[in-house]
Amino acid sequence: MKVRLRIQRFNPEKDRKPWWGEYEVEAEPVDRVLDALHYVKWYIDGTLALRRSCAHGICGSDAMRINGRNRLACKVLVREAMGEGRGVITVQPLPGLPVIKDLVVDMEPFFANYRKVLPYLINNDPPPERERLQTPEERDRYDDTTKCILCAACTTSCPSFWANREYIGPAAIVQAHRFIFDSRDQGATERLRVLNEWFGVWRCRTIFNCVEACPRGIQITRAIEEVKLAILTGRLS
Amino acid sequence: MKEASRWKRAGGWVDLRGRREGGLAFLLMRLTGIGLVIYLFIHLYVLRLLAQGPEAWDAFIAMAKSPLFLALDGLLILGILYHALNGVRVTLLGLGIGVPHQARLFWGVMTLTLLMTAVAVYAIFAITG
Ligand code: HEM
Ligand code: SF4
Ligand code: FES
Repeated sequence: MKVRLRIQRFNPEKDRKPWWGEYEVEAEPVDRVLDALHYVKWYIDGTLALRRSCAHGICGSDAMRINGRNRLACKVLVREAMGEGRGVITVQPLPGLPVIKDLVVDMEPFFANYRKVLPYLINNDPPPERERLQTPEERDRYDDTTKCILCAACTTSCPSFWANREYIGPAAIVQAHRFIFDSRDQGATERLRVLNEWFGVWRCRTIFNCVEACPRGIQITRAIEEVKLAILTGRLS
Repeated sequence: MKEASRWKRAGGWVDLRGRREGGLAFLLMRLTGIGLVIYLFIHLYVLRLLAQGPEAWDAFIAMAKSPLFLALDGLLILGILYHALNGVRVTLLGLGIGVPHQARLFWGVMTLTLLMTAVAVYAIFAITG
């Protein structure tokens, strides 16, 4: 089928403002939007800049705004996107972050927030002979938030983050949740302190854009509320 | 690097593309909230008539009984009810209650808002009409 793409372009060396590039490509209905973008880059205009690595929804590098929704280009079928856009697929970089070129945004503000929550296991006990054991129930407690691939679709869909990038954002809270509720971890107090600060969890307005955006189907708002409750009650159960 | 201004970025809160119940609930919450702030000031401005004596107040009340004004009262009640009921929804969600059911809660809020507004509007016109 013929696919029409409207792609937001911006070259910092040439353009003063972003502009819309229109392209027509041949694609199968079950191709992904990423395939259509590849077609543009490989056969029409090699200067198109975009990020992608795995092309299979695992690495999280190709999150972008497709028809106004933050998604992974490798997980949206052309058929589906054409239907939504009435025959035209609109592709933009993730909102709320500076654009480096075309669909490539500067992820640094996102990762700066990520680092604030100490996203690694903290345990000061001497390492045991073998692994640190955990029951299936204890493992289950934070299972949902282990699925995050740090694509930034959620944080850049959040009006609170658009208004102020200091807001730590849903992805960082998801990552914090993954360790706070891990029975092997001892860093919960410090993480909860960070998340209780002015630009921590209390900026969440329960808009649920993050939940709509997450390609991994993580129940992000639930995780955020669990963190809020842990801060309020001082308990992790 | 190219950066939309902070105002432009923040302005994205009105963009409903790809949003569902939660996004709509927030948009309406903010709009009704802003509406209530504006209404509060109009209300205080009108109340100053009380300080100008009974004539001024009675003249206003006569005008307030016109169908147009009563219809505006209906709009006000619609806004207040949505804001208050969704306020309860947001508060519950903030306490971690009903998060997986947030969309259904939103439609519940909408249904209650419309029902209660209908009753109120009927009562207003029945009493004054
Ligand atoms: C029945 C009484 C009320 C209740 C239960 C209530 C509750 C709430 C709640 C829960 C929020 C959402 C906060 C959030 O997004 O996290 C909110 C937002 C808001 N309320 Fe109210 N409210 C009430 C009355 C009022 C009144 C009388 C005004 C104005 C004079 C007002 C102005 C606002 C505004 C402007 C917002 C938007 C804040 C934002 O979008 O960031 N509210 N309200
Ligand atoms: S929580 Fe979901 S949307 Fe957010 S960064 Fe992780 S995978 Fe992406
Ligand atoms: S390219 Fe890796 S998630 Fe899409």
